[in-house]
Amino acid sequence: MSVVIKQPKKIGGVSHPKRSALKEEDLKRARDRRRIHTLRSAKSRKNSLKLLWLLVGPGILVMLGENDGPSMISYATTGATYGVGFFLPFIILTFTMAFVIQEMTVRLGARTKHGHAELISARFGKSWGLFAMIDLIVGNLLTLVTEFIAISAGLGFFGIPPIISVLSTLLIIIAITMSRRYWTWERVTLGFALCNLIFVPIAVMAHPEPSQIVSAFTTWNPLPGGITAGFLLLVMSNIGATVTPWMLFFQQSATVDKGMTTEDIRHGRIDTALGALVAAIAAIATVLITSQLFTHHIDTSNFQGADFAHSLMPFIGQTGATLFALGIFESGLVAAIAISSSSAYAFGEITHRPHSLNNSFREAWPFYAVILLAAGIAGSLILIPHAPLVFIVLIVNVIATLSMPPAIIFLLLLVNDKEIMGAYVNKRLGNIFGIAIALFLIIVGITFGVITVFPHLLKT
Amino acid sequence: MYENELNNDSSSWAYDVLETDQLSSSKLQFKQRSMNRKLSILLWGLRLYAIVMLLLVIVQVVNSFDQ
Repeated sequence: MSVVIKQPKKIGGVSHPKRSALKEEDLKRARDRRRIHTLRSAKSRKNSLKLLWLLVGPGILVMLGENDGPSMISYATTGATYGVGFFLPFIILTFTMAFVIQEMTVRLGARTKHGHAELISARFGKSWGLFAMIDLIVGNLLTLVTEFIAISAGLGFFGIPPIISVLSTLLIIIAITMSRRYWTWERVTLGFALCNLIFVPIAVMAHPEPSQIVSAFTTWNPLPGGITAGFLLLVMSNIGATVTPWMLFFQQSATVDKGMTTEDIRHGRIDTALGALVAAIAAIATVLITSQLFTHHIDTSNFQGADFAHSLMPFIGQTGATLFALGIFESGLVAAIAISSSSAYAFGEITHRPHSLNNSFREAWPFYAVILLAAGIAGSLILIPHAPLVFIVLIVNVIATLSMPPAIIFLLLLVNDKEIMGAYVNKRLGNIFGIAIALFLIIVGITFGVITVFPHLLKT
Repeated sequence: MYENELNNDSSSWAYDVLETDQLSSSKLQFKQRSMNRKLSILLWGLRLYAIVMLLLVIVQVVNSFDQ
């Protein structure tokens, strides 16, 4: 028997509704939460590990999802262009930045139980929420195109035609989503995501020089060619490979969908840190692999995804090249799953429709439709002859970098909002780091703008 | 399976493990915050920045194709 909702009591701008009717989504979430409650009430080392296992997910997924196709190609290009040097510690720096940013979304989601787009709309007004949603969906669509390019490139190594690659990927997305259970979706996607570590054994096969690696981390050198426009573009590309707007929306919404509460914030931080660590390891491994191409002076300026796998064969063998191609496919697949979900979450939040992976198809068909449409349109685009794919690939990472400052500012405004965050509001140190990162990204963006308008200011 | 649970009292355990604002039909409703002039300028300034940067990116890419 359902319980009537009483009129919410407003306190300081926040309403507190009383007990209300349960939906299927609530029951599924409650089943997941019950396991967590049981483990919390029976503390032991074994249960602590089990609890961590239950609570990890959004953080690892977002970080490994961001090691997507274009990002792995960006890291591959970095290694092939600059070898083992500056970019190794720089990758650690970018993932540290990503952790600082993403940790805030954990607190926001756990405290407010609202997704990022939903919160922007609620606190700043519907028009800003709509802007945020449109920017996200358009940006995500472009990014999804590049994911399908990567998927197609990865599977193309095995002679699989693009249409089969696209259809297989869409089938995988449909199959995972059909579980209508956030837990199942999360665990299956995590399984795919952890395959990103496939780049680690390949890096071992590439036999990088350990002393070079240590020197790179301690001295941030060498940087062949010095600071040039090409260097700055690659810096921006690497930043775009680690810190992008869709991550903010995805992790906050996934945190809410998973049913995390303020009690889980500590585990959410561990989850995010673990994700950043694993993703950084995979990224560095990729740079180490393709540094072989730098060492052997192989020109990769016109390389696409599968070209790297082919060109690495003399150095890492057929097995290594095969694994590299599989890694590119995996990176595109996981990102396609996560990014299409982030679009659907934002759409559902702004249009006030059901938007949970625990919802039935009948309840949340627009939510599921957005997931499939986003992936379907992006996949279809790469099959169109003469589609401007090179153009899209070139601009996506850069656009992600340039669109990050507004996204971070909204994030900082929300996480400093005492009315909604209460005791979980950003502390001084969080703000120092957050504002520093925002300023860094704005400076990088403005520098890029100056180079675009005055390309002769820097040597090429 | 879930429909049967929804319709009888055996679902009451769910209220014990979920916080009130986790229930899909009783989320907290936040009021819009006050937007002062400085905040409005900041947000619209960022909007303008994003549009200008997007145009610059397109110029850069078109230039690179021409080269």
